[in-house]
Amino acid sequence: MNDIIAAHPNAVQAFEALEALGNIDDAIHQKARMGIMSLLLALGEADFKFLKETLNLSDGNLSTHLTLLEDRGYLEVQKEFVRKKPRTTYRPTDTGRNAFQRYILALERIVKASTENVESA
Amino acid sequence: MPDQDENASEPDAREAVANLRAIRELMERSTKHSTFSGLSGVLAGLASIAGCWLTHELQNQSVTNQQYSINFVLIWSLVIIAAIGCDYILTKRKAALVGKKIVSRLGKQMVAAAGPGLGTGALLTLNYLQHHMLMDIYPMWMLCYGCAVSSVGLFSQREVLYLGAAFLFTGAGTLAVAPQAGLMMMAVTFGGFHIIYGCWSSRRDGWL
Repeated sequence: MNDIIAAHPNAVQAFEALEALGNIDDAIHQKARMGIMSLLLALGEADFKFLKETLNLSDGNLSTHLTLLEDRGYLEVQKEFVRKKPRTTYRPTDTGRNAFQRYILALERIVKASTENVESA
Repeated sequence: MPDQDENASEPDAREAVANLRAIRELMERSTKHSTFSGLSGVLAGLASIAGCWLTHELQNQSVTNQQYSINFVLIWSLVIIAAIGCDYILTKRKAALVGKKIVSRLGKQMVAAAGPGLGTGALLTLNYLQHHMLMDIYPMWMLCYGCAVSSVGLFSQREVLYLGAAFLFTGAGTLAVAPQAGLMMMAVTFGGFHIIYGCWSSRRDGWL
């Protein structure tokens, strides 16, 4: 390893980028699911209607993504009736929060590794 | 935000930057979800129109400068109390309905954003009061309130920015063209604009 790093000055950044890629969570690394997690972490919770309108997704599409995130243990669901109308609220779990933070860190490491690579080239 | 399929490929640096930007924008946009009650806007508008009518009646009475000032401050203090009181009660109720708290990080930011504009308006009012120039205060109120609403609009929906801009333009226009019509323009702006915004907001999000 040390020989490779000595021979290739950009190897450290390349290894860091590779390590970061390994931390990319496929459950979050998707346009709609990344949006869902971003909104839920910013708000603390959101209902189905708000997520649908903000992310401009169809009912079926949003349900599919929410189910996947729920199956991963990233979300918890609360169903209730508000003024006789059903309302489904989603909250991020601690697992979901940690996974999203790891995802952000992984993205930042990829960007950082790329920037350092360009600077040292 | 780049399109990614279900079997998302590993991101390159450009995609990582785009995703980080998209996450930041979504998080910012999400904090603009309003707990504003449209009904409180309508009630604030009606309170303002009532205040304008009472002030108009006051102007037609022969009273001393001191009596005018006292009654003027009383009328508009009551208008502000009524408007803020209604807004507090209804917003608190709406916040509870959507599972939020009225005192949130966003709420504090909005109050801080509105502070300079409203504070300037209060200081100008004191100055005009000292110099018995209260009849000329209305364009200043529109401008200061417009500044406050525009600042709040940065944390809220785009329409709040438009409301602030409407107050600023009307205030500037009144000051430049027809300062003598200030009270009537108060009814148009603080009354009419609030009622229009409240009705529009209610039509979209419900009355309560």
